[in-house]
Amino acid sequence: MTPSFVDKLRAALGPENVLTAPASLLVYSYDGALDKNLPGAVALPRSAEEAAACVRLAAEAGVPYTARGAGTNLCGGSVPAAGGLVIHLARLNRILEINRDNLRAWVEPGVVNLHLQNALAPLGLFYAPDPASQKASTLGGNVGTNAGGPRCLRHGVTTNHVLALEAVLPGGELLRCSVEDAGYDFTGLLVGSEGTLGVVTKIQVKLLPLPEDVQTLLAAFPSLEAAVQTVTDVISAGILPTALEVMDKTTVHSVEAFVGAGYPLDAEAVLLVETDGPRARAAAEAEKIADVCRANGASSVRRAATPEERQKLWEGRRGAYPAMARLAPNVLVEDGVVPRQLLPEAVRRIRAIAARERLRMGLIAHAGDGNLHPNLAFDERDAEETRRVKAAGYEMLKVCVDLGGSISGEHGIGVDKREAMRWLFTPATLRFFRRVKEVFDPANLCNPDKLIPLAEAEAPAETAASAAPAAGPRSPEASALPDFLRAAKKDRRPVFIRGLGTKNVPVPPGARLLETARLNKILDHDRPNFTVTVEAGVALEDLKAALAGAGQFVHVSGAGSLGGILSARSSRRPALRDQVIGLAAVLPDGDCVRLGAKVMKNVAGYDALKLFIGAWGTLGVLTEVTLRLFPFPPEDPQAEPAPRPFAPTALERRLKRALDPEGILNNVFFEDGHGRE
Amino acid sequence: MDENKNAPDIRTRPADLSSATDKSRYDESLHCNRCGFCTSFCPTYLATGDEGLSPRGRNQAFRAMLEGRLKDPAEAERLFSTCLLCGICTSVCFAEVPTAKLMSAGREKILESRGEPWFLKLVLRVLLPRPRLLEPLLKLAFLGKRLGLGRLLNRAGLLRRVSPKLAAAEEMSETAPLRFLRSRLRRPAAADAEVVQFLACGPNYLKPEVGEATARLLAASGARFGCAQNVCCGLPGVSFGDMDAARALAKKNIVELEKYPAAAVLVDDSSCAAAVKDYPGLFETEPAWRDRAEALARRTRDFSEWALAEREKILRAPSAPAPAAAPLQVTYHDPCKARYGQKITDPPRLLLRALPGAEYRELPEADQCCGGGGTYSFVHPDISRAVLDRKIRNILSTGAGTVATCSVSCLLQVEFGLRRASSTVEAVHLASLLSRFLRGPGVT
Repeated sequence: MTPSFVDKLRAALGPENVLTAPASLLVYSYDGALDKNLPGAVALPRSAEEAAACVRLAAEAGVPYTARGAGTNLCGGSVPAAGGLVIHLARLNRILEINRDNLRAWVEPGVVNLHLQNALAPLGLFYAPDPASQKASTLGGNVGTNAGGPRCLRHGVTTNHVLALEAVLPGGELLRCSVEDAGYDFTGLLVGSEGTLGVVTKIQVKLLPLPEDVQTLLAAFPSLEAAVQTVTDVISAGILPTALEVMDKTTVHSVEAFVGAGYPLDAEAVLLVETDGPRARAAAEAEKIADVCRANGASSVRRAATPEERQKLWEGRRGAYPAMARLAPNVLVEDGVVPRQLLPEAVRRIRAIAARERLRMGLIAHAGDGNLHPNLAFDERDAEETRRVKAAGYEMLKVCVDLGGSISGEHGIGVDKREAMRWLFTPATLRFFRRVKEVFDPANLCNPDKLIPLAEAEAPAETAASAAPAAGPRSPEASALPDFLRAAKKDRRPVFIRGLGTKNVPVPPGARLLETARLNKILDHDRPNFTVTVEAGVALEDLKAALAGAGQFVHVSGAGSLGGILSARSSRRPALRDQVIGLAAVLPDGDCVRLGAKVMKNVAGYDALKLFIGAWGTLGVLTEVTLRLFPFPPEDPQAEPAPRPFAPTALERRLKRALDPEGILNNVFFEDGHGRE
Repeated sequence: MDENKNAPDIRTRPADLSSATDKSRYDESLHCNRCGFCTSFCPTYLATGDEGLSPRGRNQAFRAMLEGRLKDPAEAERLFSTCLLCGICTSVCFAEVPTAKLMSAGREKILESRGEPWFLKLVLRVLLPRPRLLEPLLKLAFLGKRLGLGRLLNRAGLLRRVSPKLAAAEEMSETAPLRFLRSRLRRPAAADAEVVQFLACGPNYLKPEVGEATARLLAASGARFGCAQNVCCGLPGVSFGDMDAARALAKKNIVELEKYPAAAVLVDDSSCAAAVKDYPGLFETEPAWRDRAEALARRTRDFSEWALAEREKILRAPSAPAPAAAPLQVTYHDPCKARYGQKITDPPRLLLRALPGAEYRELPEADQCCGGGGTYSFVHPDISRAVLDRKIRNILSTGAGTVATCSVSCLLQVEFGLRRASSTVEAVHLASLLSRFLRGPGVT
């Protein structure tokens, strides 16, 4: 960083809005956890224009930069890992517009989550994502990490509530994108990208009407297994509560010593359930939930009769972290996620690790999502203890991966979990992430050294294969695809993908036909987890028939194969992007990528699977799709009449070129348009 | 990177401290694990959006200073001196890190590292312990103000040139009484007094009518009462980080108030009430004084606590006819030293809700400081006024015609903000307001 760069910043922002004093730099070196690095300067822009000026000046000077909100994140995402400039967005804190008619609001990224809730409550509205940090964390930060929270079980996480974004891209150009746009879902890609693809300057969020009634129950169980079985049974009974929180015995005991919420001390696990909605429905659901708890051997079930009692029941859950925070100067909050019914097994293995390393640990879980948080107390001044805690945390993440889960449900990857990404993703998938990053940020200045492990340290293929899950396609039909595409690439022959042919698009002259109709196997129907993984050529009708017997439903409508429906985004409501949790595809160069997992919450890596939804097969051939299932049929299914291909923007062209430089794959759709602004 | 010559060390390490007090403060600072949940509550962070001006930033800088990771302790001055010491952060902190206390300690370290300015020393160590020196000087200054000297200088821009702080102070205060409460009341307490009225500097020097109202209410209570011959409570010493000065003042007051061993000590300024209740914390290493301080703290009452306990004796019943001076709607601003310093929130509200003829309206963001903070309002006028503007917007949003509070620092600040907003809303001390509802002959 040169003095002239700082001078230019001062000229653009005003000298008092650029900090370089040593003490100021010190307090921008950390986030809410352990990672630290000193920035060279800090900018405090007051408007989206000033934030954009920071990005442009940094790009011009070749200075790395990191956008920061409230700095409550837990994996180093907002720590300036490469030094350079911190762009602190706290002053962009205006709620620009609340539209009560179409239930949307435009906000700036520095708006504190709770401040938005406070502005909405008098209007009878709320914004669903409620991360534990919501009193301080900003919506920009929530977008960066794709934040969740206890009530996301029913309502979904941040990505399900962000409708449009405005962002300054690393090149300095402004990106405006919306989930309603045709083409690649850049809105979905930016959410959860931890500020590595651009600096978000405006956010449009979805609002919901406040429920008429809230019902809260607390049940005590003799075993963790019984509590988790209850969770599965509640969901199987057709109830999707807003929250299903599990606490283990250690947590309950430490919490009781601290707040005295009246939690049962003899229980092995305590389950806190909350459901809301119209008064009669919420009450009926609470009744049913209590029955399910008792049927699973709950030793006590308490139901809050008043708002005060409800607060009391939540007090213990909220006290879980504070109770640990009082035990020691530092608490590592680890964040893993597993298929829901495997929670007891995950907890058993995680406890064994903590016991072996002699660590003080309390466990809480958003059990409905299979998301668990081991809380480890320690003192960062003790380097040896800190090392043991970090190593144990890593080992706990490995447990989640081994059980088919993910290394982060809601905190993100940052600098902290970059290496663990190798357990979860194949080298080809990591390469894909790097290509996406390069398309947005060729100079690698925008929050560099985050999220993706370094390519130079790429593990040799054999170790990667043993660590990472099944790398390639799982059926002989799919296995032939990489060679097919490589051959086409070599010959520069166009390829045209056809599923069940329901769209009646003729094969372009000279193109090779790639038919996916024989990718027709249902690979994995995980009933207790409410997920299904199918090959992309499976007909929606066949899938629905197969699930009907189990009383489970996909909320997808339309005709043809799942791959076709996804590629054309022909099922619009409820949105496909909210249901697809995993996907495998073969890229035009034959690379096989595998994105997502069969878990409800997953913020590991770019949410790049959303790029394939509505991409018309221009980025890759879909081979597998994992969908979340519901215990009830969709309320109001809607199929789009005749989906049309899209005309690409400059950014879309860049992404396409990066993945398919020869333009072999489904280019007939891509070249159809004449460019969009 | 050329700026990094003075770069602080970001790696934490155990601090090497010799003093027991330093060790206690250090241990307290360690419990900040940087979760950041305090930031969105801190008035100075809300006003500036600067992490350095947040409780977390301040705690981390304090810790770095004690661990010897800042090249020069004075580097942290801006972070430490801009803290309002309101204490809201501690109230929302899981580990209850006492940031305000740490900031006083941090200011003390900075004073130690570069010597205390002579003017501050003169005020804290020479004038405040000696009312007989202080009072004539104050009168001289107030006379000058009454003659319009300050305004004249301010208008000519001269005051700002000499000292922006003085200019801000001149602009802020409207009052300049020439007779102080001490001489107005002329009622020294006897040794067997049941209640002694602590002469807090705000009511004594700036708003004597507040102390007079308190005295009227005291008279109505029927208690044997009188004034203590106390000096300043020592809060300015704590705020500026001159803990020795604070201790000296506290000792003087402990000795004075021990003359009335059975009396409750009534303090009609919440800032001073909190300071007296905090005396034990000043004597961590002097157990004998700590015991005496604790005994005093136990019998010290904030005005609102006392008034609530005596309500039926001193105030008209809620069902009684409203006095002519009754406000229509009233709201209440909590002094931070009451809300956080003494955990008092209910008493003033219960009192106001029970006033005949007046409707109580809760103030939005009642947990937020007004930005007054004693001398803060003219030491950091920009931040203070940004914090104040938010407070005034909230006061105006209630539609109340009167806003009550219980500390003269807050009262002056809110009055100033209302004047700046050209508002007709009346700001009043709780004692003054309650005195309009005195229970008297024929009125129950």
